[in-house]
Amino acid sequence: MRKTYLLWFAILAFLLLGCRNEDFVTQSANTKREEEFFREAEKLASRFQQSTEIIDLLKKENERSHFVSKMKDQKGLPAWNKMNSKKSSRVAGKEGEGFLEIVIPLTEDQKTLSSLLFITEASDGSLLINNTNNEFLKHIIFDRSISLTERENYLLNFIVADRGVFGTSKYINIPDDLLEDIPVNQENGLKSLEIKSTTIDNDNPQNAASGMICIDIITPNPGCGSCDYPPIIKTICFLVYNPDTGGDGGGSGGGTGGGGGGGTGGGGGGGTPNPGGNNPDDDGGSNDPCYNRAFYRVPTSNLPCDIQIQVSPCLKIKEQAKDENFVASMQVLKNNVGLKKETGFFQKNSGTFVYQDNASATDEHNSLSLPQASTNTYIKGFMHTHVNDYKYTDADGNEGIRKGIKIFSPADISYFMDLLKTAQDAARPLGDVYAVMVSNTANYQIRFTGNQYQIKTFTDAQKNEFRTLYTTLMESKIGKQKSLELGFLNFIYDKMNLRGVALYRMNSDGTTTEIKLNADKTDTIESNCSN
Amino acid sequence: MKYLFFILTLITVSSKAQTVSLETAAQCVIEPNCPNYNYAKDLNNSLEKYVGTWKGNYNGKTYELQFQKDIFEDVGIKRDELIGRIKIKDSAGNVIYDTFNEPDNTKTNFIGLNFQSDLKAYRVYFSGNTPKGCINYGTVYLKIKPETPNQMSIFYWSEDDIVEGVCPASFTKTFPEKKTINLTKQ
Repeated sequence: MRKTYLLWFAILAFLLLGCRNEDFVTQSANTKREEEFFREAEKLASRFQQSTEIIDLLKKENERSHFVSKMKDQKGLPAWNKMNSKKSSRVAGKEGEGFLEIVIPLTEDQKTLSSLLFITEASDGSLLINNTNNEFLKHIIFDRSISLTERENYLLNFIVADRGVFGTSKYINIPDDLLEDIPVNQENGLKSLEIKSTTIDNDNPQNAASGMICIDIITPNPGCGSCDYPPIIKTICFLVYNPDTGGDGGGSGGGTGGGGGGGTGGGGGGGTPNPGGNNPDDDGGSNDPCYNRAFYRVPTSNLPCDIQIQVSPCLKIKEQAKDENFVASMQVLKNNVGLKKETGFFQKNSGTFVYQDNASATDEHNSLSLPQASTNTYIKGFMHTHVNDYKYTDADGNEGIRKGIKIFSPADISYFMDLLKTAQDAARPLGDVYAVMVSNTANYQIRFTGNQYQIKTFTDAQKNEFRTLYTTLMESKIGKQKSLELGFLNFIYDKMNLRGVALYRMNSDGTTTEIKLNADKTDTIESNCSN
Repeated sequence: MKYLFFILTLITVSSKAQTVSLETAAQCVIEPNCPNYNYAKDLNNSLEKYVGTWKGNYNGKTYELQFQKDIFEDVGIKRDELIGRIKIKDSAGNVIYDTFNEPDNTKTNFIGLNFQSDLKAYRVYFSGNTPKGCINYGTVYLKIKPETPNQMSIFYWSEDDIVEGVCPASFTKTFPEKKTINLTKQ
C-alpha cells in the first residue's frame, strides 16, 4: 500500500511541477459536464470522510474557476475510487502537515485511462491543476526535439499510472529511440514492453523519497524468432521529478522534467515541452472515435480503433534505401556534386522521381526551381545537391571563392514545411515527407516527427530574415561538419522555432545516424538507426 | 606570408576557445587543424580601409555603399564585421533601393562575413527583395588594392539554393550577377 502511495505522489510531483497550471478561469462553464463530473463523487463521499473534504474542496474550486469545463479531457469521468490524495511536506521523505496533493484518473470506458488530473495546493492555498490526456502524451513522446529524458519520464509516469488503476501490463507504440534497452520491433519500427512488477526503490530510502520507480519489464528475446528461448526480463528505474531532490526542471512551475533515468539515460530535462505552436489540446478530434484513445494499450475488441502512430523515421529511411529508384537518384546526385549548379529530384506520392536542374539558367535565373508545393500537391519529398566549393573569375581577374554550407539551408527547410502543409491538408501521413541533401562531405535527410500544430510556413520577409541570420551564424562553422550539424539544429530550434524536425546523416556505409541536440543545446547526440 | 601568419597563430594558441584574427578565422574554412576560437577579432585593423561611403556607376545606375564596423555576436561566438548600407538610383535619378536610413545594424540585409580564404576580398552577405521563385541574395566581394586605397571593386554572386515556383521573367536582381562595379571613396 505504501508503495502505491509513494508511487502516485512521485508521479504527481513530476507532472504538477513540470507542467504549466492551466488557465481555467477565462473560459465558459459547461454545467452539464460539471454535474456529471461530480455525480459519482457523492456516493464515494458518503463513505469516506477524507474524500468528502477533498470533493468539497474541488467543488469549491470548480465554482470559482470551472476547471472541469476547461480540461483537455472533456469526455472522461473520474474513477473516484482510484483517487489518491495526501498531505505532503516539501521536505524530502517527510509526510505530514503540508500541501495537499491529489491524483484523479479519468476514464471514458472504465478500462483505459483517458487522462490524469493532477491537483496540488500551492503555498498560498490556491490549487494548481493539470490535466494530461493521451493526445498530449502522444505529442510529447513522439516529438524528438524534446529531450529523451523528458519523453521517457512522461511515458513511464503515464503507463505506471495506467497500470496502477487498471492493472494493465502490456504497452505498445513506444517510439524507437526511447528505452534503449528494449529492442525495436522490426515490423513497425516501434517498441513494446510488458511490466512484470512496479516498485519504489525501498532498498534505498533516498531514492524512495525522491521518487525512484523501478519497473521489471519483459521484452521478446531478439536472439531468436519463433524459438522457445525465454523472454528477457529487465529492470528499468527512473527518477520522477521532485523539487526537493533535484532534477533541473526549470523552477517555479515553468519547466518539466529533469531527473535522470536509472536504466535509460540520465540527467537532462528543463524547458517546457511545446508540442504545438497552437494548442493541440482542444477537442479538435471530438468526432474521431479514436481521438484521445490510449495508444500505448494493446487494442481489444472493445477498442476497434486504428490509432495513427507515426512510423519511426529510421524505419522509413530503411525502407527508402530498398527503393532502387531512390538509390539510382541518389547516385545521380552524388555524381552531380561537382557541377556548378544545384540539381535535384522531387518524388511524387505515386513514387515516381522527377529530375530537376537549372539547365536553362541565365545570370538572372540560375537557381534550382522546384514546383510550388501549394499548387502541386503530388510531391512527397525532394532531394538535391549542395555542390562542391568552386571559384569564379571575372573578365577583370576578380576572383570569388564559394564555400558552400554543406547542410540544409533555410530555403530547404521552408520547402520541407510547405510539403508538410500540403500533406496535412490532404490527410497524408506527415512521416512520409522528407528532404535529402547530398554533398561531397555528408548526405543528410530530415523527417518530421511532430504533429500538425508544429507545421509552420514562412512569409517572404521571414525567409529573408532567416537566410541572412543563418549565413552569418554558419560562417564560423563552414568546413567543420559537426559544428554545422550543431548550428543547423540550434538554428531551426531557436531561430525558426521549429519542433519535430529530425536530422539524419546517411552514412556512406549504408547506415543512418540520428543527430539531436543535447539537453543544453551545446552539443549533438548521435544514435544509430538499427539495421 | 599569410600562411606564415597562420602557422604562427596556430603555434601560439591553446586548445581552449580564444580570440584569433579575422585572417586566421578565414583560413579555418579550409584548414582542418584550425584553432578553436570564440572571437574572430580585427586584430590587424584590416576592416578599417572599407569604412566610409563609396560611390560608382554601372549600366546607368548609381551605386552608393556605406560601411561601418560592428561586432556580430551570438551564443558562443563573436566576430568583428562590416555592416553595409546601400542606395541605388536608376538613370533618371530615382531611388530604387535604399537602406541608408535603416537604424538597426542587424536589419540592413548587408552583413559582413569575413575575408575569403586567399584574403584577396572581403565577403558581405546581401539579401534583397526576393519574389517567389527568384534568388536575390548572395555574396558581394569587396576588393581594395593597396596601391589604390580610394578605389574599391565589388562583384555580386548569387547563392546556390532551391526556389519554389518560377521566377517572373521581369525580375531584376538588385546587384548585377557577377559583374564588377568600380566605386570611389567619397
